[in-house]
Amino acid sequence: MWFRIDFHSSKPIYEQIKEGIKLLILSGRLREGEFLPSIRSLAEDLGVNLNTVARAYRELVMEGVLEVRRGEGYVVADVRREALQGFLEDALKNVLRDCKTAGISEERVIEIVGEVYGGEGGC
Amino acid sequence: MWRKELKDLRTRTLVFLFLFVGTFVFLVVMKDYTRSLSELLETAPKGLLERFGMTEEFIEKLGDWNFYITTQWYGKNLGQFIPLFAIIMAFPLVAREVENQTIELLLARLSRKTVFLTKFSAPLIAFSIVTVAMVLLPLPVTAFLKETLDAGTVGKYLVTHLVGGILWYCVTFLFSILSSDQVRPLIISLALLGGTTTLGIVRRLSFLNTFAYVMKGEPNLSQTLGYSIVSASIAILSYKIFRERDF
Amino acid sequence: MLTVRGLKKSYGSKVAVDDVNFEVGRSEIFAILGPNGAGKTTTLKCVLGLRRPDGGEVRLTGSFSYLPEEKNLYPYLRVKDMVDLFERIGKNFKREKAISSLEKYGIDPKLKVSELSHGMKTLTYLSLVLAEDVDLYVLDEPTWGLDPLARSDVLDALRSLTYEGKSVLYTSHILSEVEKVADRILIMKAGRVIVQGYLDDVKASYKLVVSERELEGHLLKRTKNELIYLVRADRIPEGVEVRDASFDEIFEAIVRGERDVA
Repeated sequence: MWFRIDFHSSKPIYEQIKEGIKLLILSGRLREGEFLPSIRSLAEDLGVNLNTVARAYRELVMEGVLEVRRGEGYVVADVRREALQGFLEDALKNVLRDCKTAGISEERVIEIVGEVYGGEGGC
Repeated sequence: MWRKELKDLRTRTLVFLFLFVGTFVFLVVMKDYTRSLSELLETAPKGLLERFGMTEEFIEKLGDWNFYITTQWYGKNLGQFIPLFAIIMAFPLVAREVENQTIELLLARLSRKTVFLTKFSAPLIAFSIVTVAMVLLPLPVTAFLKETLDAGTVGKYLVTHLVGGILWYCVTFLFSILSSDQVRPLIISLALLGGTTTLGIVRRLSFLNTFAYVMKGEPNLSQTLGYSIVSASIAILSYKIFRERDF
Repeated sequence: MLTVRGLKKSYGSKVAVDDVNFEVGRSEIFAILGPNGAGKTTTLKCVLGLRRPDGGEVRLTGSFSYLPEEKNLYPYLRVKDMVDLFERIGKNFKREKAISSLEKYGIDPKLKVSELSHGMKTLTYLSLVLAEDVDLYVLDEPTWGLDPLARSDVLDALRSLTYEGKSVLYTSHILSEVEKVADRILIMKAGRVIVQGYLDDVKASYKLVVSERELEGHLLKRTKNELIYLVRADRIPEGVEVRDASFDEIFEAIVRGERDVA
């Protein structure tokens, strides 16, 4: 398992790991009940510290995204997609706020949404 | 750490060993020339050589092996180098490692006690072995040449050479611990050696004249005991300072 | 693993370290940052007992090894003699590990220490120190003067130490490198701790604020008509433009900003 970590981003590394895992689940590459790599092996793969991966897993367990199987490791829990999408929606809102400040009209934004989602509301 | 310390002091020890042995060989060879000296004395203007203590009587005595070795080896060539030898052995021991910032490598891995004991004893043992060997060197040569040498005198010189040398070793070691560069302990010790010797010319301060003590070979009790106590106190003081010092 | 409480150290009238507190846990990489003369090296030396603190308490459970700021080995010895020396005086020294590490960095054991470049000397010293099997590695500027590839190797080596339950306490000037490996950081200035915590938390707890008027906070820079402040994320005033802060900006504003106040 691998995704890119930006060490110089202002976003904490454990957050980046959490989001990386959520994206893998949302995109279907990690399925419910599937085992995640061990903390050590993910740390090695990503080139991050043990404690950072441990923290990301711990928080994902608290959010109900992962479950601990005693003595076996972490598996993907039965979780609603909406619960995973929150961070993406927040990111989208931030971009939209910038668009608003920049004077891009609501109509134009909806138009773009249409283009991305396959032309259903576009002209 | 022992092996490293021995390696560190190898060059210094060997240089002095060769210097001593070379001087001794030279002395033995020169002895045969003392006869030509007395011939020189006859041709030279009267009084000139006598002014340097070269009376006929003195040169005649030089012909005597026992007198020759006592005055020329113990009382001169070996004796005068003993305090210098001790200072050269001791001055870089701690100061050089502090100057080069290598002392941290030792202190992070060994206790201060171990570092102190190894640094203090390795060169001291080397110094003592060389000194004892050099003091005893005339004995086998005497036997080989079928001459006679007074064993009691040799014993007395053994005491004064060791006691005087170790005193200067301890003094220099203390300066080596106090200093952060290696030149300073060398200069200070040499200055102190020169200073005390000069002061020692004054009769009432004659106990300060360590050169005279070493070269005369008369280990009177007060001086021998005094020097030994001073050496031991300085060694203990050095350890206390070393244990508390910042590096 | 290591607990430091109220550490104080002065040289004459100059206070080098003043009331420093921190803890290094198991499997943790702890970085001490700060400008030159901030007291980083003094702190490490007091932790190791190379210098006697004037006050405070240092509690270290387990064994440690140390790489000093000046990577000085005995110049007249060969690299292989240094390996031999470590075999005798080193702590739990693993000879094969040192040899293979030297090989990896392309250092010929037959070379004399005096023939090594600065970078090679550092790598030699590091190879020796990291071959000591101890609980805590105290490293003063371990990557200073290394090329990017060697530096990356060293960082990987430090990280893999934590996989075996070992801890690292180190100092560095290079922020981008600290961001890659440190779990926790401590920023020192003029002998005092100004910020400490998990790197991720420190990053998350500050924001940049662009303001036209003066604010409470660390001033990062001043443009013609704006002031850019670093402000704690929970103390952002109303009606200002908020931006994410990079670690470089956090460090710069905190270290420089304090100076503005004083």
